[in-house]
Amino acid sequence: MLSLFSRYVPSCYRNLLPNGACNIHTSSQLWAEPMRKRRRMDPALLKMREQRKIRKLEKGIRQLKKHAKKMKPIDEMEVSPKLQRELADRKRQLPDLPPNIVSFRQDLIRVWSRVQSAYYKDETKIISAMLHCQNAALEDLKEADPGLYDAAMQPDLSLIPFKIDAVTETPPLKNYQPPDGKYTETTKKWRP
Amino acid sequence: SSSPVVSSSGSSVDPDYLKLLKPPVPVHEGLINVQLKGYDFPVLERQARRVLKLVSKLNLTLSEAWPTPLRSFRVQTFKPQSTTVDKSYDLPIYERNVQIAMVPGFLLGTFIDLVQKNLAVGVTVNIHLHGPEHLEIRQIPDLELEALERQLEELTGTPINPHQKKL
Repeated sequence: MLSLFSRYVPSCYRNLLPNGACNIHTSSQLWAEPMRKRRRMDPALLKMREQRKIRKLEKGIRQLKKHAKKMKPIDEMEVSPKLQRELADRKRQLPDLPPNIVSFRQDLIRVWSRVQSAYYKDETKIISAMLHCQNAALEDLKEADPGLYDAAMQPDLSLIPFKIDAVTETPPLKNYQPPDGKYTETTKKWRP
Repeated sequence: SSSPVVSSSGSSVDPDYLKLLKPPVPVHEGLINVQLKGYDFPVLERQARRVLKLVSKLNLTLSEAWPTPLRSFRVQTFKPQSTTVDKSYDLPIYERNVQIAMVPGFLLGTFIDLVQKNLAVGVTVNIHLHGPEHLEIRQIPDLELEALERQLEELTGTPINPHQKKL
C-alpha cells in the first residue's frame, strides 16, 4: 500500500501526511447495513388477510348484537333509592274515621263513578253517531259514484305529519316584557 | 307426481286464506305515532290514557304505547342590564307515545279531529310515521358496537347502518 502511495505522492510531501491518510476511499461510506430489497406481497394474500379481518369484525358485531340494546331509564317513573330505603319510616297510622264520614266518602265515590260512567257513555254515543254518519255518507256515495267512493276511502297522505300546538289556559299578556335569560339543555348524554 | 297448488278461483297459486289477511279497506302504510309532549307530567299521563281510550273507541289497532326519556332544560333569567343570574329553573319536557297500525284511510281524519278536541291544556301533539330514530332515542347507545361498525365501514367502504348519525 505504502509503495503505491509513494509512487503517486511526491517525496517532498511524504513527511507531512500521517500514516492514516493512506486509506483513501473512492466509494461512499455506509454506516449501516444496506437496505433490503422490499419483497412484493402477493395480492391474493393481502386480500385474504383483509377478508380475515372483515370476518373477525363481523363476528364481533354479531356477538354484540346478540343481546338486545338496553333501554334508557324513564326518570319520572322511578322511585329514588333514598325514598325506597325510607319506605318503612314513611308509613303512617291513619286515625279511625267516624262512621258518618266513612259513609259520606263511600257515597261520594259512588256518585263520582256514576258521573264518570255517564260521561263515558255520552262520549261513546257521540263517537259512534259520528262513525255511523260517516259510514252512511260513504254508502250513499258508493251508490252515487263508485269512483268518488274509492277516492274517499284512500288514505290521505297529506294528513301526516300533523302538529297540534299546546293550548294555553290564559291568553298571552299584552305588553309583557320577557326578562333576558339562558336556556340550556341538561339532558343526560349517553355519548362521550 | 305432485299437482300444483291451485286455489278455488283457479287463477293464482296463492291459497285463499291469504286474502283474509289483507285489510278490507285501504289503510295507511306503516305505523303512525301519536307523540304527546308536555311540561306537566300528570296532565300528560292522563292525556296519553285519553288517546288510548279514543283508539279503542274508534276500533283502531293499537300497536304499542311507550314513554320516551325526558329532556331536561335549565332556564336562567338575568337581572336587568346584566348577566348575573336572577332565577334558575329546571324544566323537563316529558314525552308519551301511542302507536297505531293499519289505520283505515277514511278514519285518520276523524281520529286526529278527536285527539285535537280532547286535548288537555299544555300538551303538544305530533302525529307522524314511525321511524327508526324513534326507537334509537329510547336506547342506550352501544359504543363498542358502533366502533366495530365504523371499522368495518372503513374496510368495506359501505355504510352498515344508514340511520346511524355520523359522529
